[in-house]
Amino acid sequence: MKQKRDRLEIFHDMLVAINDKNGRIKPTHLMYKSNLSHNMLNEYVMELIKRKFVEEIETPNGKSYRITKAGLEYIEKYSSIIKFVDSFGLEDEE
Amino acid sequence: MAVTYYFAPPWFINIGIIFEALFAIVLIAISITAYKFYRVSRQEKLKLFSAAFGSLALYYIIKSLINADLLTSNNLTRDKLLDLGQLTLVAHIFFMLAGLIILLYLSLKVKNNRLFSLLIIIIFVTAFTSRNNVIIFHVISTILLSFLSLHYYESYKKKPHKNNLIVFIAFLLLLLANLDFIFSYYSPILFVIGHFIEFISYLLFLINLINIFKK
Repeated sequence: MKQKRDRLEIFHDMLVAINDKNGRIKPTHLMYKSNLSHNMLNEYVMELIKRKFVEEIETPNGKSYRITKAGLEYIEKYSSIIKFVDSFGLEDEE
Repeated sequence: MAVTYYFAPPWFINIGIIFEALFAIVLIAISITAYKFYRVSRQEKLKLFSAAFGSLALYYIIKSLINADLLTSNNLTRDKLLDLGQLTLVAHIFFMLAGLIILLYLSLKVKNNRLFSLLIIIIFVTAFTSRNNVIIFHVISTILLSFLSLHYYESYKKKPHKNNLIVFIAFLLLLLANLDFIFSYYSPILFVIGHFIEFISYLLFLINLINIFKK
């Protein structure tokens, strides 16, 4: 059985989902793509905005999230970061 | 503050300085990597981890600089020797214990900050006021490293990857080296053995760091 995802992995999945949609995604799509509940999505989106990985934008069709340069850098370095965090036992407790 | 001074065998002093400089380089590399990853991920734990390894690096930098100073000073008076010894001991105690305590804080996932602050105060007061500072320092380091080794063993059991095993063995060797240093007061050769154990430990940390950047 696959292990529970930790925060860093969820951030990565969300950012990849946004990036795959040309860097911009609607909240509903993001919720399905990243396999999160509505409450969890809000919590993680707030965290992504706080870390400046995404920004919220208003479009004529409603609210969307756009990936930032910092978010793209996170995707790029994710593999090394996760290896570092795992090997030094720094992962978050679920 | 009453202190106990001990010295490595004369033939080992140069090698010891090189070892300590190498240990510092490995620790700085890990500290910088952790900080860079913190800048990218904004994961607070990485910032603290960077500070912990930076503190451990400072311990070795100060130790090797003072040893080098002792070696190159021609007219070394007893007073200067005592001053330098005192400074080395304070650096030992402060930076090494600070680094280990931060690592322990991260690994134990402490919820009660007041309790943890109390433990820190007890550790520093004991180490600084003890009559036999060096031995007490190594005893306290050994205790802290025992808890850290246990954490990294559990981490390896949870995720049995090669890198986790490398880090666990590295901490276990640091624990053995500190255990060895407790008794080095009685035999200078144990001081040398301790440094070689530390060398293998830091080599493993370096291997882990290289593995992290491998594609």
